[in-house]
Amino acid sequence: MALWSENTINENRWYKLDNAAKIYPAISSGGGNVFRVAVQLKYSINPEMLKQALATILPRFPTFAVRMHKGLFWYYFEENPKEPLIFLEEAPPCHIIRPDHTNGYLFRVSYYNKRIAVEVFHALTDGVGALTFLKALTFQYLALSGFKLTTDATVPQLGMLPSAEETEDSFKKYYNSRIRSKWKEDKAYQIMGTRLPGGHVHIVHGIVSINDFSRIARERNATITEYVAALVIYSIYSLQLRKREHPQPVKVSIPVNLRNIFPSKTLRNFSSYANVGMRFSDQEYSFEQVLDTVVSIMKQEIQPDRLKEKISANVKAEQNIFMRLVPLYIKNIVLRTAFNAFGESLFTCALSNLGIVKVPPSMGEHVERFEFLLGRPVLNMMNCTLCSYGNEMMITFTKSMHETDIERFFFGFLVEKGLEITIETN
Amino acid sequence: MKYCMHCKIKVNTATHKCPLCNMELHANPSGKSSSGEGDSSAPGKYPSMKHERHYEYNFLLRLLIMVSVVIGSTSILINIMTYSGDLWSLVVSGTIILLWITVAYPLYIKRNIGHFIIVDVISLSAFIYMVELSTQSKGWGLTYVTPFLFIAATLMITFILVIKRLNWREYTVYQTIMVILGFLPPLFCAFKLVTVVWPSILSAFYSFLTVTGMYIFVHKKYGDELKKRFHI
Repeated sequence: MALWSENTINENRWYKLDNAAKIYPAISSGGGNVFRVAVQLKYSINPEMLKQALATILPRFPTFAVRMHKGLFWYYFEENPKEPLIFLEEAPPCHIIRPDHTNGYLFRVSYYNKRIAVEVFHALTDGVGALTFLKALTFQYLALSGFKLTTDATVPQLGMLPSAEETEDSFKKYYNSRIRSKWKEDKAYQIMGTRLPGGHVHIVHGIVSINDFSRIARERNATITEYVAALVIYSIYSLQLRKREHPQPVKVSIPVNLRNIFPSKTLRNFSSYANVGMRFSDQEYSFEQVLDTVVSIMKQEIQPDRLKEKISANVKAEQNIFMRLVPLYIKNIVLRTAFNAFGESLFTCALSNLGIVKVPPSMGEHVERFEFLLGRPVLNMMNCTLCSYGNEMMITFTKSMHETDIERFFFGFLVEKGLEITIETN
Repeated sequence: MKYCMHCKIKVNTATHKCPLCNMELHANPSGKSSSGEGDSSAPGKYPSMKHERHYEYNFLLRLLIMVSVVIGSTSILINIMTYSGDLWSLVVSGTIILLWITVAYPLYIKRNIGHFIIVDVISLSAFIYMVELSTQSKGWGLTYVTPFLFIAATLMITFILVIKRLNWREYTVYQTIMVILGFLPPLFCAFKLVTVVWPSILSAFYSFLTVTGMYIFVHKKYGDELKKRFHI
């Protein structure tokens, strides 16, 4: 049976890249900006079935079923008539997605033992979009495997036509050209360490009980994300900056899912970020001090007005007529230079929380856990991701450095607080 | 599952040493599962890193580059040392560069034919103009060669467009670029770079015919494609 027919797609459909996506093609020649969401099932994966599931769901996700082309002024996405492929997972996770290997697609579906992983080039979507795609894929895979599943609001309905809301660029909807941004970011402290050779990456997962963790966070009136951010900052301070005056703050960049603040159902990028951090002088700091600072900065940063200001600044930059009329080739050079000068140097470590993953109970029976990973950082030495499912939370460090003292301190601190931790690595 | 006494954590990866502190691991005190090593069902495991080949060392390519540099620079050096009003070394180095563009570039870079046609037409025109400048025989390149090269290239791309229907989108862009190039030769006349006018006019006229043809036969698709490619 032919799974894929090249005629099923109407090739005239095309999309501009959304506001957040526009930076990624310019800066990702080195292979960055790939992240992945994965699901660990209770059984080994059947590749044929997975391929069939992918071919079935792809038309439901028109913004995923694309290839990228260069225009004279901007990149654009165009419907891809080629068959989507699946791969046996290869190391390292989140390695560059090369369109000539994936039939032009900007995502890669791979399997390994019991795991299905969806790795996505960030220009396509953010964590929420990728997770929605993974859930639909897994649902379809399990359904094809012969399990009786009932769907609910936590997975997208396959039969339904994709709505315009899911493919919109929500940044455009919520920006306001009259808002002026007066924000200036300082460069952040960068972790000292020995860089791993190119392409290599260390991954450390720590699995904790989500109830225990949220209990210790709530004791201090912090959210889980704030608590982890503060602990990352405190670990770096304790190991590298104690009793030392350093002019640069230790900052953690936390992506903020804007769908929670501005109504949107888009499956493309719709997130902003909050850079929270603090500058250390040569006196002694306690973890509680760091945490209180993080909590108060976070409170300001996720104010709708503050986020709107960030969105507006970005959309205005994109809509600037001079910027638009510059040929793509030169735009790429400008964006790359700007990114190298600012980009990752504005924070020490990225910390992304995918939140609690929910699936229909009938599907949950077959799922061991969900995982979330960011690719190898370029300038930074590490990044951190959180993902919760059931009663477990997975804290993941993706590192491009040899030394393990930061995670040792981090998890050691949690052990002191009475948490039970299981470590897994690559 | 194993246990690190030092870090007080459980380790669920097939290893003898603690991934955090590198100390020896022990069997889990709670003793639930001890198979540990070789336990392929342990979740979160990753495929191991293949030894990557960094790049392929192409000796022939490097040899050719070296030979080109030697010939080119030697001729420039001799030309300067024995200068008598003639810049013949430009022709020598120009030929070498032209050979690289027309022969080696398509061999090593994977692009589509339309791309090479346009690159070749432009580099060939530039080369001939340079030969004119550095020798005594003036006026033939821009007057005759360039306009006819443009016409030939436009015709070739039209031909490919008709044959390779599946890939027509790519070629519409090259066709558009060629058409725009085709309108350039009359500018040479305007700037008094050439004195014989008819080949330049012919080139522009052929471009006009091509555009008209595209409009008559495929204007809807062609228009859509241009909208995508040129959106600002």
